[in-house]
Amino acid sequence: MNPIWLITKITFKEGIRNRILFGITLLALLLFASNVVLTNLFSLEVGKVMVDLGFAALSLAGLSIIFFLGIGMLSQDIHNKTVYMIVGRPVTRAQYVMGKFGGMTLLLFVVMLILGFLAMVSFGIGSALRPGATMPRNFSWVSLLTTIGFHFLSLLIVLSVSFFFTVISSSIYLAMLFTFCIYFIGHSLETIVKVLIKGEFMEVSPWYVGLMKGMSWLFPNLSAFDLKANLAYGLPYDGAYLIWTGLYGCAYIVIMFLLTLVIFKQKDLC
Amino acid sequence: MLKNKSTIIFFVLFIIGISSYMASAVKVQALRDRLDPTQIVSALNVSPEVLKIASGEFASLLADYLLLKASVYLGGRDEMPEANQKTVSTLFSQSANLDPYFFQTCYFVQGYLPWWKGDYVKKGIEILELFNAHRDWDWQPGFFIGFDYFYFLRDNLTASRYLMEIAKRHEAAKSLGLLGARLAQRGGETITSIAFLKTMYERTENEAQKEEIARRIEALNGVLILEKGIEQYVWSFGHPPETLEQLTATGILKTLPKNPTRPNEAYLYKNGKIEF
Repeated sequence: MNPIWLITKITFKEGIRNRILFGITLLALLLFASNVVLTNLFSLEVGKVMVDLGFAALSLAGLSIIFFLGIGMLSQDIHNKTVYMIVGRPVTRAQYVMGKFGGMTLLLFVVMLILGFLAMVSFGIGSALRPGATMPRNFSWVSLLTTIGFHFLSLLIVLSVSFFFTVISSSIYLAMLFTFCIYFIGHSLETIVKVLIKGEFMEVSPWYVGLMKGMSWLFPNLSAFDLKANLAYGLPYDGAYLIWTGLYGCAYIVIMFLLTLVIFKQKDLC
Repeated sequence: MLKNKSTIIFFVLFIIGISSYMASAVKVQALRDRLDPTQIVSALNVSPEVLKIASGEFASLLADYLLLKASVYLGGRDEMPEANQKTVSTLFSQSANLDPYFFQTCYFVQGYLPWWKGDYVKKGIEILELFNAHRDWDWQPGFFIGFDYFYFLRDNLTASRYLMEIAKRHEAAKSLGLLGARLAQRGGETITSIAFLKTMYERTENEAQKEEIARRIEALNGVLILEKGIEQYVWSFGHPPETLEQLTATGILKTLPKNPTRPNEAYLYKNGKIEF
């Protein structure tokens, strides 16, 4: 059997058996249940509130998996030296990282799929219990899947960043901290640059704006993958936007992954 | 002996701890109960952009929360202190900036801010502009703005611009164009009104609607004739006529145009202005 696929399977099974996953699922279920209660507090465009709550649950679950399972499992393998048992066999370091990434991707995919289904169930229950509640404008399954797909892609970017920092840092906490910073910057940098360019709240020198624009080349623009407004308000999905954003996400993942491989190959594991 | 002593100290401290906790918990609960959540409202005094940056992908959820916070306080109350009005206005503004698509925020803004009068009318319009720009499929934010200009700011011309704009953009709001044209005429823009209605006429397919628009165009053409007549009267006599009949009596107009929108086919004339 291909060693990459073998490690992917092992990582996936390890993730499924991990107790953290149960906690994450429980948290997501609680958020879905809150859909039924919280939507009653709104009277107009209730579908939008359901989308907000559903995707908040998906985000929290996905990020928890990356932070606690992804970083945790890779970090433990490296720092507890269990990685020796694998790379000592006819498995290259590159194959090991690819397998681990594949396993986590598979785990994220399955969890997103299950939680996405549960989100729909909670939408259904919420709508049935609340008279007058309707699905978002222009709702379609394709738009829902597209939004979930792009959400998944943004999580994969965070996952690739987390792998990079887990490999270069010596501490699990540092890896978590750096990954969280990138996640936060990724969602905020675009707004910060826009605010600076507008110059309504503060006046900054052009070189500072240039620096921030330069940083936006370095950090992933995670807000570009957020299509919740399109789903919640039935806004049109621009084909060119989807293709270019998809390509942008895939390219960023590939670059981060290659950097991770290079560093992991050079890393002294002893 | 020593073991007994430490056990006693442990139990004494434990009992003191438990008693203090219970006493304080009861007191805190009682104090908290006095605070009715609908009597207090607070907002972070930061710009919506800062909230947007801090909330990241949860911006839309934060918008829901801020709106909920404002609406829980507002409840069914009619009056509130000025300070709380300001806080509620801040919450609306923050929520609208975080999610400029959510109609419930738009609805609440229109339902409260302009009615508080003063600066809040313009503040409300400023927030509604956000919704008008984002909800391009919806005529209601534009209608709210038009209404606020007409009713609160007494600015018929600006109100008419909004109403005519939404009538152009939205099939469902075509009838608002008629209202917009009327307001434009009241604002002294009769030619604009006629031009707008003619465009509307060409774009309308429904025969009944076309007939109604044609009637309005005819009425406005009459208004235009009368306005020109009044202008000439003022030029000749130095003051506007007291009645429209004076226009025919002085020979400025041969006959008065008929108003097809009124049963008696007459135009109303007040303070030197024509109404139909």
